[in-house]
Amino acid sequence: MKSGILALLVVGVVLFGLGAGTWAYFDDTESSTGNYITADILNLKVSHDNSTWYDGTDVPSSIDFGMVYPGWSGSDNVYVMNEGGLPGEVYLYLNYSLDENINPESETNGGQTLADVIYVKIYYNDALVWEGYLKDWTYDDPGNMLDLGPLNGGKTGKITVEASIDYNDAGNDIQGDKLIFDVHLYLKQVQE
Amino acid sequence: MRSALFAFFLVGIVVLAVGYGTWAYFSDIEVSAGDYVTADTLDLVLTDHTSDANAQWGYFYIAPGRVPGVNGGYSGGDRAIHIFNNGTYPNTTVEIWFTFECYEDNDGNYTNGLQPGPESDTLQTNESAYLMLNEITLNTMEYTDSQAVRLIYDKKLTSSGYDYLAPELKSEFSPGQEITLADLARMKFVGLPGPEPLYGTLDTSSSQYLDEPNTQLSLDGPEGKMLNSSQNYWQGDVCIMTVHVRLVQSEP
Repeated sequence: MKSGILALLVVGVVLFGLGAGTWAYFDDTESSTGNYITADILNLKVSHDNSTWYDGTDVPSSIDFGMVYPGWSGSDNVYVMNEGGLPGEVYLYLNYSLDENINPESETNGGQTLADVIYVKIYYNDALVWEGYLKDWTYDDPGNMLDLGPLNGGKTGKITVEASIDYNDAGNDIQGDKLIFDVHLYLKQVQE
Repeated sequence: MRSALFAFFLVGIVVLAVGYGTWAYFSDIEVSAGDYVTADTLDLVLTDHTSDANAQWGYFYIAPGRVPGVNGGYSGGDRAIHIFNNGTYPNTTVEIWFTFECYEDNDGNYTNGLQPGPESDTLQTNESAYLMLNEITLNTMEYTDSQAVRLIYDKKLTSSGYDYLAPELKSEFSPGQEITLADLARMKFVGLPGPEPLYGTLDTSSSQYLDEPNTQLSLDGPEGKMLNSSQNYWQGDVCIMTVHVRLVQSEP
């Protein structure tokens, strides 16, 4: 008798507990998933030959004009690629330093340097964007860059550097001098 | 609770007492069978312009300043999921909330695998992928039943949207506030009018239901905010949005 009452009591408590949890109201939940939001990319790549592309800050040096002299001229190309689907604008800044390097007996010391006599022309996709003597170059830090032009997503562009030394401009002062320069290329997204 | 326990206790005693009393002599019992008590039902069904509501929204290759094209159903169709009550209970409300899962990727194309990158991505972790949610606004979200209710409009929480926010969240938002996807992940809309019951007649392959729903949730116009600083940390990353819809019985 005692155990029967106890059993009923336990059943009552259990039923009461279940009711409190699940009998509050009806509801049903469904979901819509697999909805994607993805981001585009804007990544600049650089090439010497429009074939092998480098990514990052360790692009090997490619512009080497060799030995120069009065009456010399040369040119070289660098290619840029906008990997991604966003329109961009290419900028360039360049730092250079002068090294006396070797001083042959014939070198004079009149104050003229290689930067005074090298005349540079920079083209972007064959359009001239800057020309002048290297000594007049001012685009030398990230806050002051030369705007080369647009580079749309998935496209490549060609930067051509032409340099020359006029036969009549340069004298023995520049003999043995060496110019070392770092070229920085920057791609910035433009608003569509 | 105490009185309920006592009631069960009493019922036990009475049943036992009756048992002892009636088994002492002959008796006869008649039964009236076939008397039914059936419960109403709530049966929530979601569709888009196909018979299920998954993969309805695809906003691909978003970027600072860019509003990607409409990719309802990825290739076509509308920008909404359709909400049906295929049950029998008529007096219901709807609750809606959103969750996101984000992953690092190098090209914003989840179909070719998830790889870290590209080189210009300054934070190449899954954690950084969630940062894109802070920098993407949502232009419009609308809930339509017998009439359309704009919950978000012109990238801002509307007064109606604020009214339908869960009470415990109201202190975190205000009408007119710009809404990003990160905000959306913290929101829950409750008390929206529920769809009429269809009593099990819903045919999810019927164009009548797929194309002419009475109740639907639409959203559109995610746009990458363009800040004055680099946002490279979410380049190429991928987020999956899940929209949760709950149909709740109202109090009779």
